[in-house]
Amino acid sequence: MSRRKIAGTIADATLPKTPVEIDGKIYNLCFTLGALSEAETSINAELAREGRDDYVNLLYALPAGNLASTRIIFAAAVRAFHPELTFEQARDLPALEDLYTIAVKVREAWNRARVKDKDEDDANPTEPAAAVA
Amino acid sequence: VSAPTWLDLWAFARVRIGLSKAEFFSLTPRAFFKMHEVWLESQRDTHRMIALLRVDLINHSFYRPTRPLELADLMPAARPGAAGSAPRRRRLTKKFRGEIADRMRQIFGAPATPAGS
Repeated sequence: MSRRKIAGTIADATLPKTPVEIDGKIYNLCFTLGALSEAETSINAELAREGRDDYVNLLYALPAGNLASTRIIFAAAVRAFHPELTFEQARDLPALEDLYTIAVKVREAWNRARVKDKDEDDANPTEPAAAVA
Repeated sequence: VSAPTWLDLWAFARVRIGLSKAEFFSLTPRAFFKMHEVWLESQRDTHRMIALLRVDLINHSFYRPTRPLELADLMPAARPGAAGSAPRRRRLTKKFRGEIADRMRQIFGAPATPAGS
C-alpha cells in the first residue's frame, strides 16, 4: 500500500495557508519556524551589511515594511508550499506593483502562524477557497 | 523574564518533546506552543499520579497524620480555584442570591413598576 505524504503539503490542516495571486498564479504563504528562521537570518545579514546595530526577531514582530524586507519575508514564507522555488527565485518573484498586496498578505500569514493571544480561540485556521489552487 | 530565543525553543523541542530538527522547523509557532501546552498538561497528569500515590502512602502509614492529607496538600495546583483547575462551587446563600439579582438588574435594568402603584 502506498503511503500518502500529508505533512508539509497543501493538505496539511495544521499549516495555515494565505493565498496571494502573482501574475495570475496563486501562491500560498505559510510561516513555519523554518521560514521565519530563514527570513530572520537574511534580514539580519542585510542589516549587518548596512552597518546597522538593530536586528529583527520574527517570532515576536514583523519589521517595518520596506521593499527589501517584504521581498525576503515573502520568499521565506512562499517556500513552505512551493519548495520548487529557490530563495533567490522567490525573492525576485513579486513585481513592484504587487508589493503592497504582498505586504498585506505577509502580515495576514504571520498573524495566522504566531502564538495566539489568551483571548483568541483555538478554531481551525480559515481556509479561503483559493488556497487549494 | 526574557523572551525565549531560537536556541531555547529548539532545545526544548529536541529534549523535552523529542522532535527532530526537521519536524521542529516545519511547525508554525502556534503549533509549537500548542505542543508546549499539551506537554505541560501531561507533566501535570504525571505529577498528580505521583502525588496521589504519596497521599495514599502517608495516610495509611503507621505514623499517619491526625488530619488525613489531601491531594492539594502535596500538589497546590490541584486545589479548587487554583490556576488550571475547575472553579470552586459557591453555596447559594441569601447574600449570593442578592448579588446575582443585583447583577441581573445591572444587565437588564430594573423591572418596570405598574402605573399607579
